Amino acid sequence: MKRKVLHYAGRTVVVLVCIVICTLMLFPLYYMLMSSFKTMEEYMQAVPTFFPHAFSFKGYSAIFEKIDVFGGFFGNSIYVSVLVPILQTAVCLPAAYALARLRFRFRNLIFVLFLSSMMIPGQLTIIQNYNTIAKLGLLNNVNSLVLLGIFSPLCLYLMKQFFSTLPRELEEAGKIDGCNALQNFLYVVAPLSAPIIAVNLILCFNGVWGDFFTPMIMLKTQRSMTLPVGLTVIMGALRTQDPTVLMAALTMTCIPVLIVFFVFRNKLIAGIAVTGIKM
Amino acid sequence: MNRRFLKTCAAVLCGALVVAPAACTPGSLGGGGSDAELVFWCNNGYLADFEVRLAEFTKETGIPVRVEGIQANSWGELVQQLSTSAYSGSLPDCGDIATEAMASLVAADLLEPIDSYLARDEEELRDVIADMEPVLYNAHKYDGKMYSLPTTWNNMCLYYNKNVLAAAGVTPDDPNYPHDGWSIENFLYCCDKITAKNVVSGTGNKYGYKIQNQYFLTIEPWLNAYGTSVLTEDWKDTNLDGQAAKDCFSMLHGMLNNEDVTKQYSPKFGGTAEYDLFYSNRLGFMANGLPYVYNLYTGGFNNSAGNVSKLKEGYDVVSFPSVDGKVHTTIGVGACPIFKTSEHKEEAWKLAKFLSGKKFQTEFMTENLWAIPVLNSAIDILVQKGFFPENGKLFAESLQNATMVPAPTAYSAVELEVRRWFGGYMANTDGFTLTGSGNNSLETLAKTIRGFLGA
Amino acid sequence: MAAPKKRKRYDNIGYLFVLPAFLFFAAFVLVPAVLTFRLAFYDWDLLSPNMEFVGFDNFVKLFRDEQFTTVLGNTAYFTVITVLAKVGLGVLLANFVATRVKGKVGQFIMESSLFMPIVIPMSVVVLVFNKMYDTEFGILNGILRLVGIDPVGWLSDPDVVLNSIIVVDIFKGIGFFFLISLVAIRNVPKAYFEAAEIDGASKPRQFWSITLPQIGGTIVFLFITAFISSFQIFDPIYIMINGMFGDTKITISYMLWQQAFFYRDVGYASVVSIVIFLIVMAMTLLQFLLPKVLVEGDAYEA
Repeated sequence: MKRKVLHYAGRTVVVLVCIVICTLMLFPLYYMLMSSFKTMEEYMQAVPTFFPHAFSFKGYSAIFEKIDVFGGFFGNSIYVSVLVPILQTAVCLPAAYALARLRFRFRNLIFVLFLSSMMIPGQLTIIQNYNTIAKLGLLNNVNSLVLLGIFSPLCLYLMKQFFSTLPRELEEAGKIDGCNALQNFLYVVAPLSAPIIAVNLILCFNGVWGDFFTPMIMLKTQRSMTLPVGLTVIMGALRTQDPTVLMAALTMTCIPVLIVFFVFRNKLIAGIAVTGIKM
Repeated sequence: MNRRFLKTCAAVLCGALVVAPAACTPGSLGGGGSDAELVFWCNNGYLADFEVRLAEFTKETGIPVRVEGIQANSWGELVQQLSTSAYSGSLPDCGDIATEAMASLVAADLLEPIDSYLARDEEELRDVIADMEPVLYNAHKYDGKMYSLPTTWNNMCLYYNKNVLAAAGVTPDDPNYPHDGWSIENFLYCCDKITAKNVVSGTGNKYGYKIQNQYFLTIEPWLNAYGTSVLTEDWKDTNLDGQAAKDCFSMLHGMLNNEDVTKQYSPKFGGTAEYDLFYSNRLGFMANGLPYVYNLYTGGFNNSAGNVSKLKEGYDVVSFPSVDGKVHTTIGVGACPIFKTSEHKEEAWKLAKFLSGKKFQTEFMTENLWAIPVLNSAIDILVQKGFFPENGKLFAESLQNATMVPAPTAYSAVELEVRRWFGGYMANTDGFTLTGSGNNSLETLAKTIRGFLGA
Repeated sequence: MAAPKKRKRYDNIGYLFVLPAFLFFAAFVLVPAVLTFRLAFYDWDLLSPNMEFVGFDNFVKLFRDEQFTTVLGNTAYFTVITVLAKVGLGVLLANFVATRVKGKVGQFIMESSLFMPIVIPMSVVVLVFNKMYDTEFGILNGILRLVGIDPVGWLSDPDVVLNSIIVVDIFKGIGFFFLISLVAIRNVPKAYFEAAEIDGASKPRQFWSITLPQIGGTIVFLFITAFISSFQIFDPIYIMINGMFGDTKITISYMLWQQAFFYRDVGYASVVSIVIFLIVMAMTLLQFLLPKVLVEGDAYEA
């Protein structure tokens, strides 16, 4: 009997702890969502409310009235977050394959170089990259972010590891069928790398979507800004002092990433896990 | 599976490779894209408005304009952005620039003097120029050359919250009640009565005034109130080590530290936007120029949505209090200069004339309330508007005794240094003193500024 | 017998495969890094065509800079606390969820709620917390007022502000550490735990003696990853502090940005970035070398 009581007491504690943790983790997002539906008066109380007394869509209507402000930020973010993963895969996949499977002189040197760039933080190269981008005339242009985002040592490393663990039989079979290395890659290996490509696409999407530092430095005009930077200036850009507008904008920003999160949850978690474990 | 996957990959890749180079044309910020397309820079917040208004210009003249909104937290930053653009060869043709940035741009030889244009179009511009106050017209004259007609101007005054004053027991017949030409003592009296902690349990504190660390918003107007200014009239020397400046700073310091009137730097409180406090009837006075009229109106202050008379019942504007009983204010004047590197100077000049012209000023500026129009006829219209505060005539009349915001060539450096000292002094940081000659004393500040000015 | 075709020694087509990646690497990583090292010896403002060679002046300036000591101190404080918190809490939470939370639904809820802040962009999190921390209208002070406690200046009190930012960073980052630990813990062979149960070991004992040693390698990885990212923290400092407190509360990444893009003293900024690089490099090397040292641990003494 005592065991049962202790057991249920234990279970209750566990459940309580879980509730506390979930509340703490989800509260800011909840607060953000609720605030976006409040009126400005209700938001500005000394003791704020946890649930709006009067639902107001003013925050959202202010954004939709001048939709090209938020829409511009959103569009730029989508553009970069979709283009970079694709180009990154296109550039890094063959390179990773070559490093894993093909033999050529300097292969190891190149691999070591690529790997060592993981040690190079963005801070070391940002000044010169700014200079380069300025000379290219790409300042205040989203494509500067695209250029900077294509090379990713992490992506290369993951893909190389993946290729290293692929059984060689398939390529041997390909060779027997008369494929050279290029054909081998395109027809035999690449289709098999769908899982790692998918993981990389999702991870890269998340990373680029949330990047603040580089866009903040490269993009200073309203039309070129991505969402993370744009959100810090959106109140001024909409000429409003109403904080619920900011909350509405923040809520709308979260929607795509949350969709990706719930739809691709397993792949995303697997990807992050692979990142951690393989290191 | 192989073939299909491969085809999908190829398709995606082709798509990406087509999109990227096409969009990769360098410089969405090039000076003059297609034929005679003007590139016009403005502040982020006004991008949408300018786009709409300049579309009218395009309709009239057939000259397309591309408006770029620049994110700059201060005019010094804007000068930086322009310098970077000069470096990468992508300066705009013209832009909405204010006094604070003009001297630096002139000194960097980026601007085209407009004397020849003015002489050539004298007939056309006669009425417009006659409709401006001379002090505005001459605002952008440097070394005897004109670099721009004035387009807008802004001043500094205090918005006061009538609800808050009433709740504090300060009635309109009280001699201390805000009125143009009132004294510092009047102001401090009001603030004192307003500031109260936790009036009712659960509600927040009320404050009289919130001191910010801003050059145009705080430091210069308060110095003007004491009859002085950051720099001398010719901007070649500084007044900061004068007695008037010392009185001013110690008054502000006292307001913050002794009388708990405002909480900007007090460690425990502060950091909340003053507009938010004012809007929720917890702040008595806030300092700004015209733009807050727009925000209070569109934000429905005092439950005035759909009923503008409630707006006037809720707040009004008054001049900064002063030592000598006169109305003092700080002003800055907007410009639309033409950049030397522009390949479409004639078109840019047309745009500049449009911005200072009757149509833009009387029709557009009176609606958008970015700043005060420069044409008297436009100001007359503005003052009549229903949502305009009762004492709104202050915006125009304060021009009489106004001080132009000191904006020498070394504006960025001066502004940074003054604010650095002011911030440390108000926060009681070690070493930041009014007296003495330590590293961070007022005396050293004055010396440093003299160094920047080359005095 | 297959006809012995002479095998080519090298698949030189490999160069073609690697070329695009290498070009981008060279253009945006290798060359800039090298140039930054060179730039540290010059005085430049990023704009004028002339760079003035000043030798070691910038380095000397850094050593003498009092502000740099403050910056390092802030960064160290921030890094130590967030690393310990993120890794420690991450591991503990992972163990909690792995051992105590039964059922797929429960695990799904816990995993999702702990992981969600990771996908939300950092600037969104920072902006929301900015409003929550607001002294007059923020919900945190609102709750305090409700129970009668004096409000706290979360972002305006110099003694509190770094801690407020630490909370934001932990909130945002804990999901990653939780997840990696969770996967690692789930990979520990059940046999060990069953054996321990039979021997009568309590759950905490199992954690100490089995779980921790088994995931030791992962923990090292987490510590180092946490260090590298915490050390380079920028976004919250820029958005939340941004010039208040007269630069006494900034971290090293912010100082880099400030020197390079605000004061435009690019040579000096390059020295700062070199310092950051050296510290990050040291930590990364440690991460690659430590596992080789630690891999034989108690775990293998069954």
